[in-house]
Amino acid sequence: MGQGASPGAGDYRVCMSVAEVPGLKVTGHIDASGGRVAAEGYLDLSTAGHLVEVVGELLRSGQPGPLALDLAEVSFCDSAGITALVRIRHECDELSWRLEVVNMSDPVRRVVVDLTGLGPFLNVAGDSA
Amino acid sequence: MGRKERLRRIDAVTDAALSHLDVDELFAELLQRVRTLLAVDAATIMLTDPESRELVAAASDGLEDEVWQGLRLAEGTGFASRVVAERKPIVLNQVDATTVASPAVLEKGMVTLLGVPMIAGGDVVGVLQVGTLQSREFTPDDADLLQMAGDRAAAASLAGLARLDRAATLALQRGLLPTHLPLVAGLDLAARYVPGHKSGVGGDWYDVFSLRSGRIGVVVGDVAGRGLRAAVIMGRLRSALRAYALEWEEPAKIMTLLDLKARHFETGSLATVSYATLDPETGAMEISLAGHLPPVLADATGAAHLATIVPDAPVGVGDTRPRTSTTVDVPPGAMCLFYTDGLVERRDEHIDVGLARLCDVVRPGTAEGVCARVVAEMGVVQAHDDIALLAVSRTSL
Repeated sequence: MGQGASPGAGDYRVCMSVAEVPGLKVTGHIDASGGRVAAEGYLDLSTAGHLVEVVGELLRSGQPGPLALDLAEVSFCDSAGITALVRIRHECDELSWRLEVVNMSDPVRRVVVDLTGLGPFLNVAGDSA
Repeated sequence: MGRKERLRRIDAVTDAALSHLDVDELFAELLQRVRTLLAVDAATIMLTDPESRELVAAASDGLEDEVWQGLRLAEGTGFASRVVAERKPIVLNQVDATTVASPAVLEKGMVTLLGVPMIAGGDVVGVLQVGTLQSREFTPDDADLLQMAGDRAAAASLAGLARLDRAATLALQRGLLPTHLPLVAGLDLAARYVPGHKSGVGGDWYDVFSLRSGRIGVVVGDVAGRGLRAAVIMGRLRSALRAYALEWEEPAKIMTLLDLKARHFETGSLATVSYATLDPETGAMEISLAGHLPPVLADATGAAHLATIVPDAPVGVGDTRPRTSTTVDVPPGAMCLFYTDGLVERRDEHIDVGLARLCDVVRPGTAEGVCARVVAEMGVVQAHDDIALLAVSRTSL
């Protein structure tokens, strides 16, 4: 996983595609403008840890900037999934990345934003106060 | 090595008769057999202690008791830690203070070590390590045999821990949940706690206590995670909340303090909590939700709905935005039901379906009656997650 020769020098691209675990596929990349991670499947006890792992690797492989988390294709998220999302935000804070959840499916938004009150903390698009 | 000999060795460590032994006996027997088969001078099992991040000596054959008992090695130092980190058998031919952290090994004068990771459920639960006083060439067959013994020991250890865990969690939970709810004039109270079908006892709790002002405090909470760890964190949060509630009246203030406490002392943990103070004489309720589902309110006409409260983030998140307390009126004859998400969350169902179903079931009446109905009609017994319920009925004037 390589970086550019010096910060801001030219365009560097790190492509990461993770082998799917049953129930969740995570792809991510970073370039000079920031990072983007997309997840597809469901977030529960069996899969949430993998999302945290992939994002963690990405955060450590480039210069900090904005991190867009796209959860449009995540159909289910329980308390294990919520714990993972909070952990991702904490890791971003520690490493100076700015997290934004750019997309969320309706059922997941209902649980995570409406009922668990995490819209502002996860910087869910269309929800910040 | 001949086939017969190989089979004899395998049989010695996979012997079904070992299954009847408890963990300590199995460790002792296995280590004795390993020591004989591999012709080594000492064989030791160390188990990982995730809380303290140490390796703890659990059993040994060949070392004097006083040498290994109580031995604890900090993670990250020495040979055994390497085995844990690399998750594979390792041979060490250079045994000195730079490569080995164990005073037992160094004092004894071991010259060659072979260690294998004990893996169960995907986690490294310990290390099985053998040593010789004379220089020795361990073969791949030796490593394979030791790994087999290590796997056996790991499985036994996990089974033993699971049994202990369940027993301890149940005891803790029983000790922590109030058996009798306070008697409060003007209110009828009832509660239930049901361990999850699959997850067993966990981090859900309820609590009711009277405050000096004459109001009562009503709590329902849900620590994320399962088993003993969740139950222990639950105990700490429950205690902390009680302490804060005696000091401060405003629910939002108490949640703010609880969040800070959880973030600082129980880092990595998360809990949703509902805390309300209720005046039994006027029915005025002040409530703050930390990522928790709103209570169901059924008034004397029978119509039940979810209280309209915007939740703040769960505690342990560290969201420093100001928290809010909402005023809800509980009229005479009304029923207010607090609960945890295990009651309404189903895997293949939108959560609103479960919430609507709950609103159909909750009606004004006795608190015990509503708890019994909810348990019967919401499929509580077959539920995945643990469930806590607390019903507060304001008696009619």
